[in-house]
Order: sequence, then C-alpha cells, then structure tokens
Amino acid sequence: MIRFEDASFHYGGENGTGEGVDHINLTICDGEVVVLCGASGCGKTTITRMINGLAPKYYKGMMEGAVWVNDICVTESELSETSRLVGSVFQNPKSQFFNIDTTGELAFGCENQGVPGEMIGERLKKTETEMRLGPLMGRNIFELSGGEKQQIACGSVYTTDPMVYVLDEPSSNLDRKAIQRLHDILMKIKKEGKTIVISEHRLYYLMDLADRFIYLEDGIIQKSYSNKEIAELTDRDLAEKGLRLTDLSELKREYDKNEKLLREPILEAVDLNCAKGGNQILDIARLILPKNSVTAIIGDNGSGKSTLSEALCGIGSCDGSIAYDGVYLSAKERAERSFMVMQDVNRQLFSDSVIEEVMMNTSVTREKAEQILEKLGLKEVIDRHPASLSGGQKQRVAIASALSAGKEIIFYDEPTSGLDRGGMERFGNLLKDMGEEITSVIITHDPELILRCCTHILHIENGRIQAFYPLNEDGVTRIRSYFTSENDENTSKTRKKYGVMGRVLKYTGKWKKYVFAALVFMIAGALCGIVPYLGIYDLLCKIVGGGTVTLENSMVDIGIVLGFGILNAVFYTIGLQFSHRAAYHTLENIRISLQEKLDNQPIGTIHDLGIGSIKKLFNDDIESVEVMLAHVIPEGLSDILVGGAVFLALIAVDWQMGLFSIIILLFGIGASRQMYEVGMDRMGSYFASAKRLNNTIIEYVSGMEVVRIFNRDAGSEERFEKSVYDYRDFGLAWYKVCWPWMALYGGLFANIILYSLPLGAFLVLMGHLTMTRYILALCLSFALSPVLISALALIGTLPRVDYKIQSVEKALDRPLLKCGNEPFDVHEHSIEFENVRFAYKGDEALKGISFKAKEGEMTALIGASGSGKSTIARLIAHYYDHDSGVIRIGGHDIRQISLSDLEKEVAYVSQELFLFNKSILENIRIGRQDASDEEVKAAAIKAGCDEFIRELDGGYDTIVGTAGNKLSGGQKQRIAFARVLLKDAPIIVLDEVTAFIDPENEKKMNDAIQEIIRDKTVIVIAHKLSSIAKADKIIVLDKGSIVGTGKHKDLMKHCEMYRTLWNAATESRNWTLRRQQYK
Amino acid sequence: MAKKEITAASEGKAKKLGTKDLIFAGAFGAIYIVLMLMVVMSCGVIPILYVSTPFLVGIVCATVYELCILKVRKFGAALILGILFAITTSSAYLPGLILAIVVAVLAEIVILMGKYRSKKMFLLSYVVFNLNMVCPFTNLYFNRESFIAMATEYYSKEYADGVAKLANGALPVLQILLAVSGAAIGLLIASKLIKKHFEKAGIV
Amino acid sequence: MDFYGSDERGLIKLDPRTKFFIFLASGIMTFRSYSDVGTALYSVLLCIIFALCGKPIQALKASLLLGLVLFFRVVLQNSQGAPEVIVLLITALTTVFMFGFPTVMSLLLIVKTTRISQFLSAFQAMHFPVKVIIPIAVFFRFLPTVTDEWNGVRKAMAFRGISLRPVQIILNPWKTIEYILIPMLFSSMAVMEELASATMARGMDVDIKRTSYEQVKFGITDLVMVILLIGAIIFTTILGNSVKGGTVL
Repeated sequence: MIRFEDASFHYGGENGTGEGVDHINLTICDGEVVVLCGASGCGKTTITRMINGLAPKYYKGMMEGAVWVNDICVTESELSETSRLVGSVFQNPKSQFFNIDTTGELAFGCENQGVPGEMIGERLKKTETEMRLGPLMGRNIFELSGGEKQQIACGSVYTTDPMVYVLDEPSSNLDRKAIQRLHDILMKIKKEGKTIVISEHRLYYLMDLADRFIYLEDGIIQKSYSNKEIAELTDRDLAEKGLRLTDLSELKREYDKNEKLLREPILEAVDLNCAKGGNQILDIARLILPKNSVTAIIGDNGSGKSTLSEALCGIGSCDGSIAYDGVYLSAKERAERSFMVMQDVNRQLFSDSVIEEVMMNTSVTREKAEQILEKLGLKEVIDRHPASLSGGQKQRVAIASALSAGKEIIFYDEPTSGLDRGGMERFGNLLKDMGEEITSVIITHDPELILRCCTHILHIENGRIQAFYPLNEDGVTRIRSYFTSENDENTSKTRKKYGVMGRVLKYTGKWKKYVFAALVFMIAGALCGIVPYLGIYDLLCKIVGGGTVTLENSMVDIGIVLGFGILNAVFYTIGLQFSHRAAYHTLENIRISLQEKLDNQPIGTIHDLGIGSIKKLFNDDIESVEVMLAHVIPEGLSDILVGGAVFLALIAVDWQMGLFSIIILLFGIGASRQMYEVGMDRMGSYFASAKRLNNTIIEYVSGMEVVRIFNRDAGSEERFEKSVYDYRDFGLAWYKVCWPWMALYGGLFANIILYSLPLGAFLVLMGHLTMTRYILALCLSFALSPVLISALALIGTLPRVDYKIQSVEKALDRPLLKCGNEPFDVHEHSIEFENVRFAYKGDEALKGISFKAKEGEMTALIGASGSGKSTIARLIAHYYDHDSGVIRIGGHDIRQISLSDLEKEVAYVSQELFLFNKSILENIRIGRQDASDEEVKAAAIKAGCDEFIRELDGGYDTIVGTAGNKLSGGQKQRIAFARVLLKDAPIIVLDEVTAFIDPENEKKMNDAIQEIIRDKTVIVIAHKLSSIAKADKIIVLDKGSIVGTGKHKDLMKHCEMYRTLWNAATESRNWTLRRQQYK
Repeated sequence: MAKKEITAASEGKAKKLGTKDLIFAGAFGAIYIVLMLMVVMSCGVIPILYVSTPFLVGIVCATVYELCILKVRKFGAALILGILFAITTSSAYLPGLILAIVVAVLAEIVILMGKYRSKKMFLLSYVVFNLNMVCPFTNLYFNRESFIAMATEYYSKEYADGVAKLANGALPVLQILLAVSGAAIGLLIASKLIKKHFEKAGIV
Repeated sequence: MDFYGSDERGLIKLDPRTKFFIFLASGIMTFRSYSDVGTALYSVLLCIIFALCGKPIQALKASLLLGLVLFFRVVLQNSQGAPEVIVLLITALTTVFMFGFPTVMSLLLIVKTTRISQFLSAFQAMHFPVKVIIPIAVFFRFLPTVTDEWNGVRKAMAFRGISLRPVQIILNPWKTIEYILIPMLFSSMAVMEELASATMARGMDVDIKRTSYEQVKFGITDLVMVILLIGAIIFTTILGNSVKGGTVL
C-alpha cells in the first residue's frame, strides 16, 4: 500500500526549477492500477519519483511530509532498500539500460539486490516464459527496436518481483504494436496482484487496465476519475484538461478548409535502394511528394522509415536518383536544401543562445531571425542557452534554425513522442502554418498528430511503399482503422551481416567442401607453377655464367620445368573442376530456394508481380549471376592466388623490383579507383536516364498504334527525342569525367614492364643485381600482368554478385499468407465477412464490408466496375490477406485455416482458364487428382463439353497444345466447369463466368452452371442481372461499400442503385437496330 | 513531518565517490577515450603528427576532463579517467601503464590541494593529467636500451647507432613540452566553453 | 553494431582471467625474447588459440599476415646489394610488427571472444574494488552510445553547413572544436543523467555487495593453457638468451 502523507516536493539544488507538487494526500491500495495524467509540468513524473525514492534521494530539493510504501518510509530510506519494493520503468528505452546484452540486463536488478546466482537463473526462466521474451534473449540491446527495449526494461523489473511497479510515460517512443504488447504485459502484472502506478499522456490503451485516473494540475491533485467517468469526458473536456484521447475510434479530422489539390511534386525518388551493414533495406521504385504537403510516414519498427528519410535528405547513402524540384541532386546538395529535426534534438544545438543558434552560418538578418522566433513562440527565451529549454522548446529552436537557413523540406523524426496534448496541438498547428512555404515529412506513431495537420500518408512496410494516399475522407477512415486494428507481432528481425562470400556460401550449403578442395588444388597448382622458373633460373645461370649447355647437364632442369608444368596444369584443372561444380550447385540451390519462396507467396502477390517480372527473376537475373558465379569468381580467385604466388617469388628473386612493381600496381589501382569514385555521381544519373530511355521506347512503340489510328502526335515523339538526348548527355558527362583517368591508367600503368625493364637494367649496371636474377624477374613480371587483370575483374564483380543476389532475394521477400495449421472441422459451409477492409496497391478497394452468405444459398454480388466484387471473391479464396476485419469460412477465421483445407473447401472459377500442356483428360482431372477416367468423363458430360471434346482429333487424349488455341472462350469455360464439377467443393465462387456466353451455347452453359451450384453455397458475380435475379441474397456494391442487400423484390423497392442498374439492363434488351429512315 | 532540505551543499560533504559519481566518471571516460582515439587515428598515419598527438589530444579533450571533475567534485574522478586511459592505451607496456596511473594520481593531488573549490587548481590538474599522453611512447624509451642491445646483435653497430640517434633524450622532453602546451591551450578553450555554455545552461 | 565479441562458437572456452594471463605473458615475452624464431612460434600458438576460441577465419587472416611479414623479413635479410637505408627501414618495421603481434593478438583474443558480462564477473572474482568495476562497466556500455551520438552530430553538421574537411579544420580550429564538442557533450550528458537515475532507482549501490548471474569458472582447459604458456615463456626466453648469448634486461 502506498501512502502519501501531506507530501510536497520542489526541485532545488543545481538544476532547480522550483517546480514540484504540493500537499499530496493519496492512498493507493494493493493491486490497484492508478494512472496519473495531466498536462506537461503538472507534476505526475514528480509523484512517480516520490514513490520510487528518486525524489529526494537523487533529485535534490525541498521535501515535506512523507511517502510510505508498506512499512518503509521511502522518503528516508536508501534507494537500494526502496528498489526491493518498487520497480521502475522509465520513459526513454535508450538510456535506462546498464548492460549491453539482454540477459545481463534482465538479471541486473537481482544482481544489485544480492540474489544468489542460481536463483537469478530460475527467475530469469520465469520472466522469459511469462513475458514471451524468447527471441530476445541473449542479444545485443543496441540492435533491438524501441519497443523491444521497453519489453526488456519491463522484464528486468519483473525479475526482481517488486510489490509496486512505477512507470513513467512508458509508451512515449513506442509504435502501435509495441503499445499493444505493453498493455498485455501490464495486464499480466495486474493479474498477479501487483500495484501499478503509471504516469502517462496516452490514455487510450489504459482504459481497460486502470482502476483510477488521477488528474493533476499545477502540482495539485485536482480530481480522481473512475474508468467510466473519464470515458465519458468529451473531447472538449479532455482538451481543456490537456489530456489526450481516451478512445482512438473517436479520431476526427480537425480542419476542413477547402484544401487545394496539391499536385506539383517537390521531391521525386526513383529506384531507391539503400543498404545498411551489407543488407539491402529499401527497395522503392518511385516516390513523389507534393509541394507544400505535410506527409506522415507510418509503418512498423524496422520497416525502413528512418533509412528512407535519411536517404531523402542526403545524410544517408543510397543508390538511385533523388530530385528536388525536378533537378537531380547529390547527397550533399540535398543536405543543403533540406533539414531533419532528429529525435535527440540535443545533437543539433550548437550555440550558447537561441538567437545565435538561429543566425549561425546563415545570411539572415537579426530582425528576420527575431521574426521567425516570434512566430514560433520563442521570443521570451531569445537569449537563453538552448540546453536549458524544455524539450518542446528545443525542437522549435531547431525548426527556427531550419527556417532561417531557408530550407525547403523539413523532416521530423518522431517529434511528438514526449509531448502532451497541448504540445502536440501547437506542433501540429505550426506545421499547418508553415505549409505555405515548406514541405514537411513526419515520421510518427501519433495518430492524433496525423489527423491534426497531415495532408498525405506514406505507408512503408519491409522497405517497400505499401501505400501513398491523401488524407481526404476516405483516407481518414483508412488511417483510423490502421491505428485501431489489433496487432502485436514483433517485427524487427535480426539482420545478420553477411559479406559477399558469406552470402554466396550460404547457398553453397553442403558443397562447401568442394570450394575448399578447389582452393587447395589451386594453391598447389599456383605453387607448382612457380617451380619451373627455378629450373629456368638454373639454366640461365649456366648460360650467363659462361658455361656450356649440353643436353645432359640440363636434363634435370628441363625435367623440372616439364614435370612441374604438368603438375601445375593438372592441379589447376582439378581445382577448376571443383570450383565449377560448386558454383553450379550453388546456382541450383539459389533457384530451388527461390522456387520455395515463390510457393509460399499468396497468389495475389504472384498476380501482382506479373508473369513478366517473375520470369525475369528466374531466368534472366539468375543467369546473370551464373556467369559471375561460375566463371569470374573461381577463375578470378585462382588468378589472385597465382598472382600472389608469382609476386612473392618475384620479391624473393629481387625485392627491389618486386617493391617497384607493387608501387606501379598500386598507382594503377589508385587511378582506376579514382575514376570509379569520381564517376559515381554521374553514374547514377546515367543509369536512371538509361531506364527512362527504355521506358520511353516501350511507350512509344506500344502507343504507335493509337497514334497512327488517331493521327495524333501526343508529344510522344518529342519525349522520345528528349530521352535519347538525355541519355547521350548523361553518358557523355560520365565518360568525360572518366577519360583522363582511363588514359592515365591505360597509358602509364597498364604495363609494369615499362618500368621494371629499365630499372632492372640500372640495377644490374650498378652491380646490385645479377643478370640471371634480372632475367628471371622479367619473366615473372610477364607472367604477372595477365593474371592481375583478371584478378581486377574479380574485384569489380564481387559487389555486383552481392547486389544481384540480394535483389533477387528481396524481390520475393514479401509478407507470407497468414494461414493456420488447425484441422478444419467441417460443420457448415457458410461465409461471413465482418467489417473487412482491403487496400489493393495503395488504393482502398473494400471499405468495411460485412455480410453473411448462408450455407446452400446463392449470394450475388453486383455493382459497377471497380466496386469491389472480384476483390471479395479473391479474398474468399485467400489470394490476399485482408487488412482488417474478419473473414470466416464455416465459422472459422480464414487466417487459421491451412491452405490445403481451404482449397478443398472453396472452388474459385473465373474467366481465365489455364491449360497445361497435357491431354484434355488430364487437364480436367486437375480438379481432383484421384478421380477415375469415368468420373472425369461424367463431369465433362455434365458440364456440356463432352460433345466438342469427342469432335477433336484425339478425343479426350488430345494434347492441349495447339488444340487449346482452337478452343473458343465458351468451350474453355465449360472445361473449367468440368474441373469444378469434379472437385465437388462445398463453396463455389463464380467470377463473371457468363461473360463468354454466346447464343449457341447459352443453354448448355446455363445447364452446366445449374449443375455446379446445386446444393452448394454459391457466390456469384455477374453483370447479367437477369440471371441472378433469383438469387437468395443480392448484395449491391458501390466503390467498396455495400449500398444494399436483400432479395430482388426488396431491392427494387428500397435500393435506388439497384433499380437503376436493373432498368438499364432491361432497357438495353429492348434495344434493336433499326434502319434510319431518311426522308 | 518536519521540512527537510537536501541540497547539493550537504551532499557535497560526503567525500567518497557515490554510485552516481562512478557512473558519471565512467561515461565521461568513454567520451574522453573516443575523442582521443579519433584524434590519434586521424593523425596516426603521418609520423610527425603521430608524435605530436599529446599536443592535439590536449587541445581537444581538455573540456571533457574539466567537465568530468567539475561534475563529480570528489577525489577519484580524475583517477578513474586515468585508469581507463591507462588500460586503453598502455595496456601492452607495463611500465607505461603504471606511469599513467601515477600521473593520474598526481593530477588528483593537484585538485586536492585546491580543496575542490579552487578553479585554478582544477585547471592546473589537467596539465599534469595530459602528461599521460606521453606514456604510450615510454615503451620506446625504456626499451631503448634493450632495443639497442638486440639491434647490435641482430644487425650491426651502425644500425644501432642510427636508432640511438633517433630515439635520443630529446624526444621525450619534446613530447612533455608538447603535452603541457597542448593542455594549456586546451584549458583556454575549456574554460571559455564551460563558461559560455555549461554554466549558462546551468549544468555545472 | 557488433561491438563486442562472444565465445559462443568456440571449441574451447577460456576463463577471462586466463585471457588476461595470456595478455601479460605476451607482454613479458615481448620484452625478454630476442629470437625471431621464438616470437614467431609464440605468435603461431596465439593464432591457434584464437581459432580454437571461436574465430577461425580471423585467426587465419592473422596468421597469413604473419606469414607474409616473416617472408619479407627473410627475403630482405638474404638479399644482396640493396641500399642500406631501405633495408634498415624495412627490417625495423618488420621487427616492430613482430614485437607488436603477440600483444595485439592477445588483446584481440580478449575483446573478440569475451562477453562484457564475463569480464565484469571476472573482475569481481579477482576482487577488484567495486569503485573500479562500475566505471569500467559504464565505460563499455557507453562506448557505442558515444559513437552513436557522434554520428548524429555529424549528420546534424551536414545540415548546418559545418564542414569536416581537414582544410576547414585547419582554417578555423576553435570553432570546429566547439561545434564538435558542444552537441556531443550536451547530448551525452543528458543520457548520462538518465542512466544514472535509472541505475540508482534499480538499486545499484556502491556499498552493497553485488552478485553476478554470469559465472566464471576456472577449468581444466584454463589450467592446461596456463601451463602451456608458462612453458612457452620459459622456452622462448631461455632459447632466445642462449642463442643470442644472453643480454641485459
């Protein structure tokens, strides 16, 4: 039990502000959960500090009264005593942990209390299981995300098992998933009967947890609210009190003025690929931000938001081109024109007074600076030291410095994490006002801020753009459902660091021993390659020494040359064999792993990627890796080894020449390096222009037909010309920069002999070198050159291989379908949608759909194009994962049914039919693999395709191949029906299958359809209203929402849209063509 | 209950290092070492600059040292910095290690003489402290004799003489002078910065 | 950032105190041995230990480097007719390398294969005063933070147009120092304060004896290692002395 006995505390001492709390009389019973709330500076943090003893034991000041926790007077006793009863979790996850590894941190509290080692071990196990910290154990704390760090902090307190938990704004730096997890942890602690005291701004996640809400103002407890009471406070009351929303579903957009459509782009990013620590993080094809917009970047931790912002404003390195206002800029140029207000604003404040900070390094006058400060509400503190200001004020000083430097774009990294409602509102209004001149981009987890001032939303997941939409009415609903959906998985992954070879060897797998064997043999071969030179040396000695060379005395030498030459070739070849084998097996493994990844992707993703790009991935991309992997790397490696060996030999012969050769070599490498670096910037623009050229050509050619038919130019020819010229210009610009270096390299440094020959001669003349050694050295130099060139090629290839493999991996690194492993007890075959939302490629296709299709009934979905009908059908077949809401099949959540069970349950028939290159019999048998021939033929008869199949040359055994082309749309459709009939699944989804009906086949198709839907639960999508008028339930969709449901008669009475559609359909039937009578 | 005023003055009576002070000392030590390493590594490539690192480090790190001892104001702050420094830089050479610790103790004594209140003494102690930048080089000096003896065995008398000429008595004295002057300049900067920023912001 | 190592994948696990002993031994050996062969053998031994403790690839790289340097040295010593100065210079460089190698190697052994918590419990077992252990622990924990802060300050400087090129530094040294020091110090001090208050609120007290979850035990491998090393030292010093005819120091 916690007792405050008329306690007051005011901060004094060195950091004293004189603020504090007065006359606190408070009693908190055991097991109670109390939330302290109020505006910033109201004293809630002080109260928490009074409970855990930091005031007055750590923070000096004036203390009156006493605070008791159970029998201990916290005010008097030492912190080490208090910490046994009271465990504390602080606001900033980054600065509250003492250890570097998570396990040590969890044990920290216990170690301080002197708990013996074995007991600590037991408690750790308990914490690990209770708090589900399994994946976080034994890791480096610096690698964890903010939410995970906060989890460890809570776990560390949990391990010490205190009576009271005190938390000071624990959710400040957390995203929605982490807040959810925090909530669950607190729930668990509450169930164990502990007392919890939380000082917080964000109230919504505590509504079902807290017993009391204590509202403080100016250091005095004003009122104590119960759960219900505080939930009843209107938004206006909350605003007055400085409290944030209690219920997120009440999020509303604040301003409604006529928003001008922001069209002009200020920032364009193309082909953004950023890598951090050897891992590719971002993969963005195209991003455009409009001028003067306020864009919020949302996404889970680890999704790449910070990396993206840093890349865009020029302080993070990346590939790709980024343009401000239409001009492609380098990183440094971007940093000049943009600014980022970081989370730790302390890092950005350089001067000793606010005015100095604003005027530093800029050309702004003092009056203008003062004006800016006034606008930001900093006039009073103009001469104070920035470090003495509050967090919100520091932030504004940083913003002021950006404004005075005339920046066009300002990025903000979680600006409102520690702010109360008033602070957040002021910040939001500030951004809105600045919107006239400045474009803002905010990384944030704060939904209230977003709705207050943002105009656009950019949603990043897994390094890719998930969606980009403006915050109009639809957008508001969307973002609201994003923040209220329940989701708590841990998303930050351990990113393992691989080097290039590490990545490649990962795929080599068990063939690694081949790689080692290859290396061993090649080294042996290289060494053997040097020995012949010794033989030659010996011969040379004899010659130069003036002796005669006869066949006898040179036998040994010739033998050596021959023998070791052969050995060299043998070893080398064996080594190459091994390396090539390893390389091809690696490629095989890469292909297999890609295929497995593809298997696990939802069909929807495969659809979206498109056949073209997947084919490119498997064929072209891997092929390009093939050449590098199988040839350049093994041969390059061996060349490096040989080169190294020869080089060492050269040094052994005469180190001076050897040294000299190294120096020349280094010059050469330096020259080519320099060329590469100098050209880096332009290389980016060059590749970007190449891509644009490609796209323009494609567009030009594909559009040619239109152009010719309509005799319109549409400017495509000019665009084509422009992109060709651009390509030329960028290419030339790049080469121009490289020419001098290339000339230098090619002319002066490509040939070592150019230098070593005269040097050696000089040395011989000076008597430092014998003739024989000189010749030997020259020979070795000759051997060196070609080998080095291929070795250099290797060095250039390695990063390309790395990049290629990574991009191939990343292309298929998309979220997997959420499905379960539960065995599916089939009781009934109904379908239920509950408030389902789904966004397709950034646009919301379904906006909260709810309906129930009963077993055995036919439910029809109708609506205009794009209203969402096919989307619903595809979601039932689990082509995609919906964003929020629940879909139930037979009462089970679709996300918990395994794919194979779902597949047995639902048959999805669409207009497209894919025929494999097998016989028609086999093709129909795809419906059910274990069907007998008779069953297949029976299904075909029922589907009405028996006749035309028998008319084919081979009958049922015709291989589809060419025959497939001869089948008409209606015939193909009937084969699809046959498959469905064979499959006999209880739920059928028909997606516009009557599109191919021609008068000839109309009756047959209708009969087939009747067969299919007999006694099944059917979902039909059709345009032909007459065919579905007899449906048990008709659902009318419009732009992603349901506008009417019911039977035909009801809808005709109540639903205007349905009436319109129906009348249009029936009218058109009565249209006929009539010859115009001319008089 | 009676009013209790717990201010810095009464706490300051405690002369021993508390947990808070140890943490501060350790953290400042980290900043000091990182800055020092940055200077050394960027200058280390050029031999001349490498030898003059006592000078450069003195300039850059004076502020950190001063902040540390001003924040802690107890016996042991400089010593802890010194120990950390010794372990990082001279750990390979035992004499160097011991010497660095001795220098740190000397710096402490200087502070002690000022009874923790005299600003001048605080500043002066850094001049002593920065001498420990010379310590890593001491191995070269101490080992000189053994080095020369071995060199005579290994190569020839000429070589040994050559080495002897290089590492003569002038170098250590030169380095000491560099350390002292670097510290002095650094202290100028430090006192200016502390007054301008840290006192104004109320941190110290 | 992968700052500190661990010995998770090692074939043998050594007590940190053994590693300290290796370090001391290397220091002593460097002073007392004048034999090329002796130093080289000892270095190879260290590489093997390093590999066994879980970092084989790095050990391989180190031994390759060692091999190369030795190779150069031997070649140089056997070459004729080279200018004196260069020979001297290169010999001196290689000698310095050989001297430094054992020490650097054993230092790497300590840093790359030990967890910080193992260090600290080793210190505690060696009865270091608490007043030394805590700052050392904070030191290690703060190092990554300082580098983080420094990176942040660097990025902030990019926005404000403060350049870090050597030219600029030379032209305007005082301002540059101020720009580097001030934000870093303020930011670090803020972290320090929070760290100190959080640590104390969690019960750490200089006067209270702490236990340690991480246990360090001296095992058989350690004993073997110590004996091996003592033998190596004796061997190299005596061998060195006897071969070279004994010298002072």
